[in-house]
Amino acid sequence: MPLPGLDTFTNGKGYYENEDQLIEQLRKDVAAGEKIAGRKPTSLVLGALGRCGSGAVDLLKRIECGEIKEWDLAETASYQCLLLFSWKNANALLVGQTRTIP
Amino acid sequence: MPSGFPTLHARAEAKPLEHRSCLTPTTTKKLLDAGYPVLVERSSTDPHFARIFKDEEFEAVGATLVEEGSWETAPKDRIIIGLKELPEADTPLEHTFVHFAHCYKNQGGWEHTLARFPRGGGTLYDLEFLQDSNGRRVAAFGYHAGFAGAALAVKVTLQSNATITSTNNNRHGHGNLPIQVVCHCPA
Repeated sequence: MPLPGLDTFTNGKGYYENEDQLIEQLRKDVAAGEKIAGRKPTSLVLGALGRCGSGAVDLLKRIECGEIKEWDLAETASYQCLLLFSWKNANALLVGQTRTIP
Repeated sequence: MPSGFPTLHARAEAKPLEHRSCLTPTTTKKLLDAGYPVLVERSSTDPHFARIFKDEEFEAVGATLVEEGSWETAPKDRIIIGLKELPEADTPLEHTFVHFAHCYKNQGGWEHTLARFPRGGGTLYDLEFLQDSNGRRVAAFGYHAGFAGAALAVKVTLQSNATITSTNNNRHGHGNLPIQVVCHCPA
């Protein structure tokens, strides 16, 4: 089933009015998910000390995610541990990849 | 009023859900103060293409508003600036352009896009190659790319799980909803 588009979450507009509106909605999403699952979402940010990563961590904190694993070079030096985490423990969703989609 | 500087013509973005702008009102004012004539296309009235800055904000700092899409018939000595790629077409491109054409990482259709420039005698200055004096890319993923990417990751993850009840097993055999978000943010 295709996921709903941005219109669905923005009253048909296709964009959020401001950052607070986005944050508020995501907080509610997280709270609703917590009710079903009995726990908050956990997250892992790879490259957490970088420009992108610090933005990701801030967002996750603001929407009151559960555990936020902040990994950077020290934690990801071993590629094997990265693969283990991605494939065994996570319902992985990768964002902010270097692959550029037009 | 001839100023000796080329006229900059900011396109209205033509990519759905692209609300960002190649110019802010602040940078527009800086360019005007430096002597560049700046024309800004009116934003689309379709909310999917609406620019985050209002037309009036550009007008207020002294830019001249022009019609959406008017770059195509604009005088050839204008520099056409934008953020993202042009709509797909085969027409020759005759102007000098500044934007991300997304052609240099083997993206689908890159050869058709790039062929339009020599065919019309136009030039592309791709923002991908804009560097500071240290050779470092100027336009790169930053704080807000991670911020927005994480928001998207959470949204998609929660939506994907929305139809699963807590009694279902996920593919790893765990009973709980597999709410996990992984953000990959390489430098």
